[in-house]
Amino acid sequence: MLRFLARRSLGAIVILILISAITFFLFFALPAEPARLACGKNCDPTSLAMINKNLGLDQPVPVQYWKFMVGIVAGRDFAVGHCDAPCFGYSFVSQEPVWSTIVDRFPTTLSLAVGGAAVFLVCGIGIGMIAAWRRGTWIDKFFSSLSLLGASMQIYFVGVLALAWFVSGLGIMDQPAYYPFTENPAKWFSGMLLPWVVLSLIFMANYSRMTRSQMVEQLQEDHVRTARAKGLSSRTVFFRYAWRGAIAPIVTIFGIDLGSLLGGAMVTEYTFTLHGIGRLAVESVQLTDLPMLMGVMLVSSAAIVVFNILVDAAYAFIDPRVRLA
Amino acid sequence: MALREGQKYRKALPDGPYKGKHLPKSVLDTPDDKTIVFHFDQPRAEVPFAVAMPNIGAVPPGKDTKEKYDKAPLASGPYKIQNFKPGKGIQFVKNDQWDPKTDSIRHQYVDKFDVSFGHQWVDSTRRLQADKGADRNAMTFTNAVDPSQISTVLKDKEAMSRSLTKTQPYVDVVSINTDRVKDKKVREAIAWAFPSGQYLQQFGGPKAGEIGGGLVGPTLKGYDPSFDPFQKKKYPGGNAKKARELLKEAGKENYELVYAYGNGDTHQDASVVVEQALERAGFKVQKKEIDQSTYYTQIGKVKNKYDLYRSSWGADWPSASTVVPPVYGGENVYDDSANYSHLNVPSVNDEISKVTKVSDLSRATSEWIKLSEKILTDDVPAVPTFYNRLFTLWGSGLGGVKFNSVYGAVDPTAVFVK
Repeated sequence: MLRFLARRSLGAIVILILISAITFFLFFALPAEPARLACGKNCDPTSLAMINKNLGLDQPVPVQYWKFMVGIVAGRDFAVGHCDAPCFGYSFVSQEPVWSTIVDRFPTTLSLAVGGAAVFLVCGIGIGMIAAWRRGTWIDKFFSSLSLLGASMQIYFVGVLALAWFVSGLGIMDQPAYYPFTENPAKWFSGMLLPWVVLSLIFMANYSRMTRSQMVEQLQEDHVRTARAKGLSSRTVFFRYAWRGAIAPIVTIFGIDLGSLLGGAMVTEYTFTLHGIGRLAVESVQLTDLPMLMGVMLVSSAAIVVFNILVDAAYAFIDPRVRLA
Repeated sequence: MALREGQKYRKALPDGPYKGKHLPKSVLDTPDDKTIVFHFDQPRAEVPFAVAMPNIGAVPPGKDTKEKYDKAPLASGPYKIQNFKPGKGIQFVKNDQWDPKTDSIRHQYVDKFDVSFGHQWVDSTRRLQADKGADRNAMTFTNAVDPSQISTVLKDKEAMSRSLTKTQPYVDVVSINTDRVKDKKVREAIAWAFPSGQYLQQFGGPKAGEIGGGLVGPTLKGYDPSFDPFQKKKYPGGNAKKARELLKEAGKENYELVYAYGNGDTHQDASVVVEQALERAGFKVQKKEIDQSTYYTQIGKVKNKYDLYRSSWGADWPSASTVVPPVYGGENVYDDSANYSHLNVPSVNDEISKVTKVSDLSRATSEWIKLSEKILTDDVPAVPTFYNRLFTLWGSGLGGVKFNSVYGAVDPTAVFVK
């Protein structure tokens, strides 16, 4: 297990370095001028050159990249003082430290991802299992159609409708907003409820369809038939035998989904005016804010990579045939 | 010395004010605790406007925290910053050091302003129109009613009683690249043919702006509403006949124009209207779509390959002095400059230097307007399209909401909770 983790972590670091290099060098291929943003309305070439110098943009791109990467590991000195590791530098736009901005935005994304995941996992798998259990009946057909409908929905459409109906129209739900869980758990819950529900509507469909098909497949497997023949109760067969076999691919997809959600659910965050990592990513691209973009990219990629490793590790527990090495 | 004469200022104090030195008395003098005297090298009629900008304020020496100042500025008004998260929000609470007797303009009616950033227009319109819960006490500075919701809001009498529609200092024009379109007759033909009214319709119609006749807008002192040399108000779809005649006179029929625009929905819709009108007038139009996020960088290149592109400029204060020199002054032709037309005409440049020296404020403002009119009729560097308007809503729980035409935004200084 330890060897597995060490090997995968090393691989993860290589992937993250590659992603950082690609992002950094691609950024400079953009036909945009980051210094222009800080230069104001009456910008002239002298001011522009000065800003480029202050931001370090006058140096060769590989040098800039090297300094940036060293900063993440060892910290970096700026005119305004020392920036402790992990130092992703300062935003070109807000002049705030990138790392503290990400730390500030992360709880919103974490709440959205974990809460949303809980809803879509429980509902998605639940619906999938019911459909598989009552395969061929109207219940199965109803839920299958429902999940197809859900899968074809878009958050920017469902989200706006949900806001118009439940918040503005009927007034039965609170305006979505993030309140820290530690300060007011009730407000945190009511503020995030609608984003969770809408986010899970889209994801739920995948999980219910996948659970259903996996369960249907498993229920036809030899070991399940044997278990039935041995006279085990249908509940035991369903949950202990079929479910155990069906869960592995679901866990794989869930790991990847949760990883990407932790990297920011851009559309959901925009639709519900939540200030999370996803929104930060979009804004940093729009505003050509390189340090912020790098920070967000690396955090998001790290989330996906880490969850992939966790999923692979979890396999060993779910499927006894898998041995990690 | 002059605040604007950058080089002289730098010579007087090469390292800026942060090296323990102060500007000499011959430049900036503080004879007593309440007076600051600026000595200029020439008359500067508009200094009062400049120092009234929100980024200018007197700071006692001990309170100058230098590079940290922008994080925690001195509060001299009725409110002070409680918390600020760039890109996310800012909260203001009452400043107990503020004395209402010394300030007749601003008020301290509200306990706290909780400002949150980054609301999409569609969302702020929905919330303000619905007027539910905490949104009853909500307002926005610059979020307009989203163009897609204008007709719904117009039908909502109750919401309309909580709305304003006012002209902002932002002027939309379609710049003509004078490096490429050198023939003035062709530029005139473009100006006649351009469908400013139909174009404005794509941006939301009369609630989003009013058709512009000139290069400067109604919020400026000395603005003349009757000035409309290309009759943009009379011909919302452009005057194709007149344009055809001009092209014929110039011997440039079927003149090919490259029209560049951002790839947002509105601009894409507008590009169709523009193309049709220009082709009706005898132009051949080649459309070039530019990614919205790099639009200004691309049209800002002096060596760009486009003939026509939209640009917008807002006056800093109600004088065309903050429009004409930066947007049409010859010394501002460089990459990323606001002179998107690349206009560099000696007579205009001379006139700019002359009007800059006018010491009487009302004469100066009217001279600037006259110069802007002369530039449009003599040089046609851009087609006037529309003067931006702000159509916005606020919650039913608020009173005292008004508009500040200089900032082009809702003014919070007298807002109270009913």
